[in-house]
Amino acid sequence: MGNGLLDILLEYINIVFLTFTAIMFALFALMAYLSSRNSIHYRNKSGVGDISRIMASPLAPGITIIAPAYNEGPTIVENVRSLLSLRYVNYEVMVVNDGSRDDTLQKLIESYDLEKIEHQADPHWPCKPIRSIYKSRQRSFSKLTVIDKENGGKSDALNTGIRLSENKYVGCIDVDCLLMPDALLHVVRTFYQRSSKRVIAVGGVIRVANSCEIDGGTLEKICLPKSWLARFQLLEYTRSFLLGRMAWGRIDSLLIISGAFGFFDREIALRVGGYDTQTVGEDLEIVFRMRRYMHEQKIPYTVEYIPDPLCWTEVPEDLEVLVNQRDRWSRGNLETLYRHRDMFFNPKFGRLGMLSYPYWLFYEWLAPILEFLGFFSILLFWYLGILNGEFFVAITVVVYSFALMFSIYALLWDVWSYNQYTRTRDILILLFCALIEPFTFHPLVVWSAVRGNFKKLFNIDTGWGTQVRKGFAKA
Amino acid sequence: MNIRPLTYRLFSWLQTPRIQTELLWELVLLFAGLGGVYLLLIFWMRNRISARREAIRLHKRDLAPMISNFLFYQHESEAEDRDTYIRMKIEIREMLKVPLNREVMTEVLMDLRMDVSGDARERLFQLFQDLELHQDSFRKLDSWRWERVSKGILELTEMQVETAYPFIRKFINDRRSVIRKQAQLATVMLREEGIAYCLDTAHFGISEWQQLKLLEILRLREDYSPPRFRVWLTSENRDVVLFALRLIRYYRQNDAETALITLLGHRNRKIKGAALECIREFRFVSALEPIKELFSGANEELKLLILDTIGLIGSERELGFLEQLALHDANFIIRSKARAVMNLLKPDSVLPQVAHQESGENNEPAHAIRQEAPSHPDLELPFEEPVAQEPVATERFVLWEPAFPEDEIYPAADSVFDPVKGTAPAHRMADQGHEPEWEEDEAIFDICFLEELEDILSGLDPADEPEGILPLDFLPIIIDPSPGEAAAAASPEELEVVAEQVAPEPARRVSGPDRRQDLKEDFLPWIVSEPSGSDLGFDKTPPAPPAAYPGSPPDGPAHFWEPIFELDELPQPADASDGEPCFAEASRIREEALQHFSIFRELFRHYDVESKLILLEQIEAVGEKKEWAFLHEVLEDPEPEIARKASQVIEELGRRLGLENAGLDHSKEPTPGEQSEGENPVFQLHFAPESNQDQTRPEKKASRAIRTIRRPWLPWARNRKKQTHG
Repeated sequence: MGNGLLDILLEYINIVFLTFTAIMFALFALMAYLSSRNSIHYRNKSGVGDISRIMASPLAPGITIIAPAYNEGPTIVENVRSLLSLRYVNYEVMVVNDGSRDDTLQKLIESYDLEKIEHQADPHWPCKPIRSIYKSRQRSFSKLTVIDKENGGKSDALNTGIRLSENKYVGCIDVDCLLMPDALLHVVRTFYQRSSKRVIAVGGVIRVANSCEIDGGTLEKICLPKSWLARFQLLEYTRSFLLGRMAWGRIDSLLIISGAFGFFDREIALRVGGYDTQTVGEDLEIVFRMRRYMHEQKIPYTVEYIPDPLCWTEVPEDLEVLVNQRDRWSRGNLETLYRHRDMFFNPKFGRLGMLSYPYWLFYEWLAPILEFLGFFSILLFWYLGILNGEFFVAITVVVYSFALMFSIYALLWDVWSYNQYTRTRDILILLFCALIEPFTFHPLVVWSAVRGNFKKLFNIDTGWGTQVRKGFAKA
Repeated sequence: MNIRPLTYRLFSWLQTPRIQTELLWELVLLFAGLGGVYLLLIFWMRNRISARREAIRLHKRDLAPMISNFLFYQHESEAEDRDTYIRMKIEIREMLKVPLNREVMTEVLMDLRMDVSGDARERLFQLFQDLELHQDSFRKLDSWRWERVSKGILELTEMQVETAYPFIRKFINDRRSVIRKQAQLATVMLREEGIAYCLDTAHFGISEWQQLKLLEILRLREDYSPPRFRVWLTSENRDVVLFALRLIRYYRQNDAETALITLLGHRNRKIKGAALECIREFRFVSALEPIKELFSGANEELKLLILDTIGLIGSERELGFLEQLALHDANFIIRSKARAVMNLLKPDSVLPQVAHQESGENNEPAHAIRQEAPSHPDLELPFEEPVAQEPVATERFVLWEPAFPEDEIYPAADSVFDPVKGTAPAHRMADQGHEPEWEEDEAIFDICFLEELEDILSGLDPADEPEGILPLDFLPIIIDPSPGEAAAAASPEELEVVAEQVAPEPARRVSGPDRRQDLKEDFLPWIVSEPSGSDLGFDKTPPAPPAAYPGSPPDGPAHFWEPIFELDELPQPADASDGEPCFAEASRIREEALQHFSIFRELFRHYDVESKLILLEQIEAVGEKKEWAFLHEVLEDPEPEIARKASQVIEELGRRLGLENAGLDHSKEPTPGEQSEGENPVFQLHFAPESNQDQTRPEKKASRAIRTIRRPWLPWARNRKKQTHG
């Protein structure tokens, strides 16, 4: 009887695994469908007309691009030059030097002929003290403002920029990001295209720039990264941005705007108090708060997503840096989800509470933990001799084949949408990455997530960690 | 053993459903199969994309020279050329029997339309219809797929098929948004009355982006006289009202005062804001009270706008209201702005005492930034000023005024003078206690003005330009006087008294735009010809668009505009005729600079003979008087063909510009002094990027024309170059 009950229990565990897997498959299939529809719709829509005509319109709104810089000395001058060469008239580049210990500020001063100006700031705005504000003496750099402040972290730097900006929209980007010349035009179009809803935030695709050739702040040649770690991330980004976010954007349930390329309605961002400096997942958290605010105010709104490849960034090629990054992301997830836990299956928040939040909780946060525990359960069951080998092998292969199919599907849409990796060899390499990813890269990601959660639960504070910038390859 | 039914049920419930492992393997097969299909699709799609791209490239390579020949074919060509032309025409018609070729041809023509101008452009549009490609576009209108309909509308619009207007118009309220938007753009683009039709009939919302695009079309329309947009202020469509307000502001139609003031009470925040901007623009003093009433319910952005407006149209009577804000408003920015506006309305009403002390001790600008920080631990500073220890009455006024020097504040105060009449509004003139202050202001003005002038005279060195470093917010705004207010409030006696007190220099100085404000908003100074008291009625002449944008023509490369932008920074010559010495000098310099400035000059230097000849043709087509000097220089070109062509161009240009006697006589070269104000190149240059008048936009046309040569893929240009080099 005892064995019988155990068997039944084990069978039920299998059923739970199967059900979880089936739900995930269903969700992913739905996601693929939604993203495909959205991609087709977007492509048809954006194929009509020429947006560059608008870049000098007197009605074109002002945008401030805020780029926090911390120890970015090796790349700062080139990166700022790239930001200054965007095709839009009414914009400002605000570099916030967040108490860098290297020569970031000095390089900016020398390269852009900066001088201190006097400016006022709201003393009650919670951010670290501003040391000085600089503007260039040269007209050609008149769009540039450099704020030198004491170190307070990325969120604090962004908040300073949001506060000091006077434009209607603010763009929060990583200073090492490379924006395409038309990026702001796309952003403005996205902010301005709705007449029935207020667009409070706009995010976009982040593309991997490792090994690409960049010259004078311009992307000269798109190349597949040479590093395998970067290649895996490229595949992962393709899946995430082209299928995941595209699908969430389709049903207006996008909950994250990437910190590397996010634009906000400044008024709403200020209303909610800007970025939260107490979390490392500030990009997720601010979208939660802005959405919550709009829900509470009962103002029709939306968060938009641009699938065009407008922002290129360098992803970590170093294992430790990657693990730290993913560790931070999972801590950020947990912090944000916990802070907004009242949204969980709360119909008051509509799709946000009933769909987006549970997805983030069960997939983005819980799935890596379950995977991790599942791995040890398998070992334990095998050790105890109670592992249902047939079922285990079958479901593992099913999951693997689905993951592989999904990755290939993402590559298919990448080719259809951009077709940027023109060499057949590049596609074959990415396919190979898709084949081996579940055994190589994915366990790393799972491990990082578990580590992040562990640190968060046991209050082991490690902050942001470090990321060493290599700088883009020159053309 | 008998099993009791209940036990049996419990036991059976504990039986787990059997998992069909076979099903899982079938799923594996399904996913693997799908993966395989996707894989094949990837390579098939890549091949297809590449093949199509290559096919289009080849087609374009074949078609482009033919099109160029069509466009630039001269009917008086030799027989051989005519023969070639006819054969080509037959050939092209044969080619167009293939659907892909028709598509490619349409694409080529659509691309080419951005690279040609003038006659060539007209011929291009004609060619599109001659080849019956517009029939394809018409057919697209009947498609059930919205993207095809939209594309059809786009083609018909861009290729100026005016007969399509009634067909496209019906889509203006289509439920499919992309089609609807495209139809709205087409309606406005194809006919001048399109905007009226669009605003009259639009049921759906017009997004801000759509408004931008519609305005852009209107801006680029040549010889356009806009309708009275106030008609649409009563529309039930909120977006139509909003757009009408923006158009009113853009075209400076100041005939809707009452409607604008009424709209301040609109529920929609954007409409309120747009109405307020119009009121500020047109300085409607009667709106002052409604504006103040609006303040309490406004958001920060609107509040700042309200304060700005009060600064422009208000008087010292508003000081009480502003002081309340400066003291009690919860928002730091509003408090600061209120203080700045108080200083505008009454100089020295907010004194920068502490800041002066600070700047005396230490010039670090961080002081100004950190002053109000004592309560926040993050903002505490080692050198914290004892602001909190100051008496409250002082403290409230000592916050952060020294960011700008005093001499930048005073002009703002004086700006309430009417520069034309030399008068000031009653509220200021009645205050006799201000007389010494006026004198002091004048002295400061003199210094300020001379400094400004020195900057101007120091040339166009961008490094000397102060715009890039000035603080852009909360600076005292140099107000343009409200002539209506001045005329209504000032008595003739007062006018006389003040006229004696006020030197013309400061009055003129303040009549100009606030350069810093302009920089912030649109980076170019506006040329605002302030209406005199008698001009308060609606201006019936086509309005000059208010702003120009450097380096950013919608279809022109930025570098062509750069010099124009710099020239625009020179002082405006509008008042130079009245003998004002400093401005006359500045105008002279400006005019001299412009006189020698020809967009063709630099290009000419680098081109081969063939290209130079083409350039000369373009000058003939779009040139202006300022090309005169340059053409005469070209007359001395060692290449006889060029000299001959230059001579022809001079004659033709002279005829076109009404300089019949100009001929080749250098002495007939028009001097700036000979030019009327309307023909003044300064004006032409400044308004060029924005004006609807084609004649006033030579640079743009030239840049388009020149781009035709610069585009490397254009075979006719390339071929000619090759021939020359060969």
